[in-house]
Amino acid sequence: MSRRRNRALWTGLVLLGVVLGGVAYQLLWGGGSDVRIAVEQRLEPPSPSHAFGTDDLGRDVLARVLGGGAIALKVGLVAVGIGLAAGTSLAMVAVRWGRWPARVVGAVMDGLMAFPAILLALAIIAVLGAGYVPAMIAIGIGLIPVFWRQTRAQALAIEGREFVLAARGLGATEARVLWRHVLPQITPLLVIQATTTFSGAVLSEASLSFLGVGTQPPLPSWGRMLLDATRALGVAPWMAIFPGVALAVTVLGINLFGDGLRDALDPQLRRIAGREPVA
Amino acid sequence: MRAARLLALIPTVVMTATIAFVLLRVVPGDPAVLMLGLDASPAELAQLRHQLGEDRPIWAQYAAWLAGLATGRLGTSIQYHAPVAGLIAARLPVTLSLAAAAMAVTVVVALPLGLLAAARAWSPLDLGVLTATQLGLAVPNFWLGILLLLAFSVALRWFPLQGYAPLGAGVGAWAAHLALPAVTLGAARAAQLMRFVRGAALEELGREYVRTARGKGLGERAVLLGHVLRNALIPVVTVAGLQFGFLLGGAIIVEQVFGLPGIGRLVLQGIFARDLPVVQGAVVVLAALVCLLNALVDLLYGALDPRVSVE
Amino acid sequence: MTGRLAVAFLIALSLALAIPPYAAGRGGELVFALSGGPDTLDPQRTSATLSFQVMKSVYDTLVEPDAHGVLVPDLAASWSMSADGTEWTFRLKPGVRFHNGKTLDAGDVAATFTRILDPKTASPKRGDFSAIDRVEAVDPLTVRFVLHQAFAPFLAALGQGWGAILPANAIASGNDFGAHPIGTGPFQLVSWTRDSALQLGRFDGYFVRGQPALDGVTFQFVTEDAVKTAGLLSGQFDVVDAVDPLEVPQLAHDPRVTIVPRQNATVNVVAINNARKPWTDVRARQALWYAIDRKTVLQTAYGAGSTPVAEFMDVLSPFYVDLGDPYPYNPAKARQLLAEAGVGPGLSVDLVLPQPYPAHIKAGELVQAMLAQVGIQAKIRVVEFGFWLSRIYSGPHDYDLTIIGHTGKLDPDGRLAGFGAPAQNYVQYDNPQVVALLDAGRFTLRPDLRKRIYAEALRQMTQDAMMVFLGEPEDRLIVRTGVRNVKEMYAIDTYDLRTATK
Repeated sequence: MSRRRNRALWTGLVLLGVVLGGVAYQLLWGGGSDVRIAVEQRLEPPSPSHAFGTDDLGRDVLARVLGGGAIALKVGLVAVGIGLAAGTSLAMVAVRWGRWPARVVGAVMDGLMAFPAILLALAIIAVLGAGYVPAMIAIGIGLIPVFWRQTRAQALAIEGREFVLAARGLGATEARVLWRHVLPQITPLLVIQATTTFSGAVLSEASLSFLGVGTQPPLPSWGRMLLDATRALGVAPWMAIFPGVALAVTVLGINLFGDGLRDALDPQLRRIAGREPVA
Repeated sequence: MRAARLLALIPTVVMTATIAFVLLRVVPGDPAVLMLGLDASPAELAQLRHQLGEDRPIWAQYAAWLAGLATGRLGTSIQYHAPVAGLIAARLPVTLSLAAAAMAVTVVVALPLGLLAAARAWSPLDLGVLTATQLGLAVPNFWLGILLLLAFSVALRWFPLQGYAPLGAGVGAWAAHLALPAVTLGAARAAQLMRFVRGAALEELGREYVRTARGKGLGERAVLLGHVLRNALIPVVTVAGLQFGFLLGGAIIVEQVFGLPGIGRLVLQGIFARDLPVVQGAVVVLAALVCLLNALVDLLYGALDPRVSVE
Repeated sequence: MTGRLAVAFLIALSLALAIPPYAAGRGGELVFALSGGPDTLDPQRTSATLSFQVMKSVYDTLVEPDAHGVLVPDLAASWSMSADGTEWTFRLKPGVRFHNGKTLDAGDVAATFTRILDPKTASPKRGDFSAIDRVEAVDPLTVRFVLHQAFAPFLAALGQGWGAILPANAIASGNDFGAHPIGTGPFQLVSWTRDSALQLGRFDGYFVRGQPALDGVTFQFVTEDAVKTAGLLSGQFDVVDAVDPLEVPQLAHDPRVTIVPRQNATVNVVAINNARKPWTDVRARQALWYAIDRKTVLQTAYGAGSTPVAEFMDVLSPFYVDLGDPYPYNPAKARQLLAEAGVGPGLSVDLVLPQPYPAHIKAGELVQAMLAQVGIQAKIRVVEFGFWLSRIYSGPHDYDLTIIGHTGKLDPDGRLAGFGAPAQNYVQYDNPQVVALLDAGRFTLRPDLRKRIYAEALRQMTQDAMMVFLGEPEDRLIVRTGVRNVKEMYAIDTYDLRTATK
């Protein structure tokens, strides 16, 4: 049993490690998202000087892939951060509200959850305009109901437990109760949910960029690179292969890590189907 | 009880419509200018705005929007100068066909493989299935779609490159145009469902009654199909039903890659063209569809398992 | 027995030989892949030039441009203009029939233009015909337009797709031309699935004998260039309107397809907001010319066969003047001019690019890199085209630089009107002299005089560096070998399929 658990966790960690290492290298030494245009070197196949080849403007595909990784991870982290911070804190304080305010918020959350995630993101982007910041916000808003629902269920369950009643009875402030008693109980599930939604957020960013409304040029983005690559498939297939592989490897790594984490933290949680915010 | 469940849909749909309305009222850009072009005089623009109802207060517009929804009027498209309801109605069969076909692919792939994997837990077959599910979840659907297009439409020419053929034109043509899109859309869902089927089946296989059945001398297949399948089906149906949200969301991307004239593509074009009536209408219809399908699944769940009463 | 066979054979042979040449290659259904479909099939209500790629086959106009941009008869057999230019009289061709069976007469022309001028039609092109005071049906085959004043671009306006002639009886009965087009064109509508495909079938009553040659045309609307290329190679498409320039070399070597080059009259530009500092200073604008390697940008983003132009006119137009290379690529000179204009290094500018135009976006990325070399930090902002129209082209003109293409027009007034009067052009170019010149050009009827007037206007626009003109994108039609006579009309991006064969 423990062998299996470790396999997923460690494989995930290794994959993520590779991705993070590459991204860190690009950010610290490789020039970040700024990849030089060199028109005279356009459309060159992989070679010793350009490990992944060059694209239609002569930019090094490896550098762009790594730069795209930085953006993907950034968007994923902020989006999950928004969902987690807003959804969880709202759910935690809502426990003390009356029936009706909680119901109204619950109804709004249900309404939000009825939207397919991509659709909600598109609608929000229609308002905010295209770009990776609006994409972050749009994906993040889509994640709020997810964290709300999960935290609310747990928080309600914990409310009735003895140690909480005792703490309240002893006169502890609301903040203290939440921070010292409720939060530690819900943290394990939160962490797992965060990992699950993180891979979905990365895929969402790629999908939105592929549709043209996510990360905008000249910033690199895996989804955008795949969109550009479709125009040059016959001439420069490497433009399509490497970003796609990078995306799959990253999502795979996060998923495996999340699965392993779930198994490690609580075997009974294995059956919970985590919500993945994008198809 | 069942009627109550369906009625509970309405508040959710109203909430969805409200969110759509609020979101899209905040959009910058003047629809009247888009419709009439840049040479229009201020008088002409004012007249069009009055026709579109944009000079009324926001509450009146909201009320009119909800009233229109109830009667099936969704406004007029800025790009096409045609009623939005008509545009959506024309495209609904395409998206529904795609979703149905993708669902079929999902179930046909996930059920047998998931069951088999559970029956032969930790065998090479099972490990293969587990790996396949991980890959299926990690590979982005637009990439998969492009690769399938390249392989099967361009290289092998088994399937047409793009477009849609309605059922009326013959089942063969309809299926041929939907084959690759359905596989693309269904792949990730199949991966997800396969894991779930496997998990649910594994749980069932560990239960008392299975051991009893085996003790009675029932063959493996009888055990699987007769008992495990039926009991595992319940949570599976729930999860499968919940997939509709992802299915319809993914349809937006798949329709774009394969050039299917469905609602997803309509939404995208509406967003690019700032055609708010179209985006609003399509968004609400899609979300309402998801609600409806989820509610139907709930009812199905209740029917399958008499122990559960629909809440 | 053999005798009779021989006679039969001879009769058959002579019949076969007697068939006129144009009947050879008749029939067949052409499949044409286009990037986008029409928004409506009502020629008076569409705002997109794109729509006419399809609509040209369904409707006719009074006159049309030939390959050199000269206006020649279409539905009108001949025409004349009064000496003062306020009256235009057209004689219509006899025996022309609409798809609904009606015969064309002057009443149809009158009803058509009354409709386009009617505010209730809300036609985006109403302004182009606002010179018309009234239309009179003199006799069944003669129609007279009375204008408010002499208007040189009038004939060209009639040659545009928006001037399509509609039947009076269908107009009177309130026919929805958007979904049920009725015209005099060689094809009629069979079916239309929006944004997917549109099918046309031959109209056997077309007024030109022997046309069209095809049985029908199916337009498929395909957004992905890769899909278009693949479809062409596999035979699913017979004609494709454009492919990514990257694919061209491999297509050129493929015997299954033939490349038909054509000159595109679109002029791509880097537009400059003349009203915003520092672009109010002509030296800053000229510095941009020197800073941008126009040829490299043009040929990398729009294709190696693109044609640089240094003025706001396309090379095939009779009004084009060769201005040479007034500001050759010279980053050092650019920096010097910027300094003279008081622009310090590190200036941040807003470069707006329209979605979804991948070529303009690519060009923008190149321009950004080149501007960085002279100390200008251009921040790219990609917006949807609708947004671009509302906020960049009209409205608040919220930009420093933007990249767009200006499509060809049949008359220079179509391209240049409004420039020079800052409230009437999106770059807010301010030059009263140019305004005067353009006004004169509009009302001068002598062609040689008009040429001189517009030449001077173009020269001033370039001297003032109103925009940085890049040039015309390379362009081609790609057909399956064996498809003939798919013609593109001069400048207006429309396809003439009357003599096309497969």
